[in-house]
Amino acid sequence: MTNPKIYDTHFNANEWIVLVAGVIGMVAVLSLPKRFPKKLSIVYFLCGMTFGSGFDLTLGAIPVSFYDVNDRAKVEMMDLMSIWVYGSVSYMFVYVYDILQLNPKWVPFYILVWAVISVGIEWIGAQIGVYHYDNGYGFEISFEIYLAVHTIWVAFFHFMQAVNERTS
Amino acid sequence: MQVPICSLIAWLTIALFSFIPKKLTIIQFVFLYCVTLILTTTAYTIFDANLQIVTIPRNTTSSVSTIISRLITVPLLIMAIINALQTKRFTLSRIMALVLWMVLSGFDWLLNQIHVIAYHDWNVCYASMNYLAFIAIAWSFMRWFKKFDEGTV
Repeated sequence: MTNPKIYDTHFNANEWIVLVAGVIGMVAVLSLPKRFPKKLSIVYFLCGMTFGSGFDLTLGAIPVSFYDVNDRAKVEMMDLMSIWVYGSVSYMFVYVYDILQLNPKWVPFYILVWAVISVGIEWIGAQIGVYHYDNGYGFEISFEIYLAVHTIWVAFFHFMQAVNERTS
Repeated sequence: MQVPICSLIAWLTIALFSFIPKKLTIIQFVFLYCVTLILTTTAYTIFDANLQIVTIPRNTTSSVSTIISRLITVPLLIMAIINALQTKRFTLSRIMALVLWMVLSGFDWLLNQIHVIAYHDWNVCYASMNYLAFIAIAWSFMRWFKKFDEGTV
């Protein structure tokens, strides 16, 4: 067993950015005009958290750690807060998608725009110390993951809307 | 043999899940899967990286087996248990929930036996208590979520 890596031991920029992003995300989610039934809003929020925890804690961590989040290669309170932030992102993603009512041919472009935005946010996070890459991982891999995940979110959104319409 | 065993068990779990009578809606199951996955992955990572009481050997076969188990077998079994608990009376489905809890604990024991995970100061009794806690938390969240069948956010 190896000792987990320690990148930082202070409450500084990376913690602040996660906290601020968490608060702004929640304020945005709660203050936006209502578009979905409550149960679907919760599921869309949880969708991001599920993918976030799945990647940060499982797929990105074993067999080799491709990246660490925040100060240590361990689970900390701020890591859980980071997962919470993913919930706001997935909610905003489907919210804007639903507003735009895109023609299907524009959907890949929408996904591409969000993937670029996500990589941009991740780049800022990496500069501040939220993400620490390892074992050859980098933005170029994140970009493909975002494309894939956002595509799944679109499919998930349509599936959940169809299920909701069928049952309500 | 770790990957074939875990894949087979995952497949059998999917088969079992498709057969059980459903007492929850699709949206409720999706919610439950999300909650269970977030809960279990966080707890397993704390056990592995922070506490080092249930570690995962960093080799490909153990890791793939762990990922299969974490993403499919454990969440589906917990979902099946919560589904079985959706009754007020002590019926066959409650016994089913008890059996599935024991299956889940037995599965954890098996993962240790075939070296997918490694127990340190940990045993199957602790694992079963841990799963009981997961079930209790997931059940509580499910109860809360069922109140949102109406209304908008």
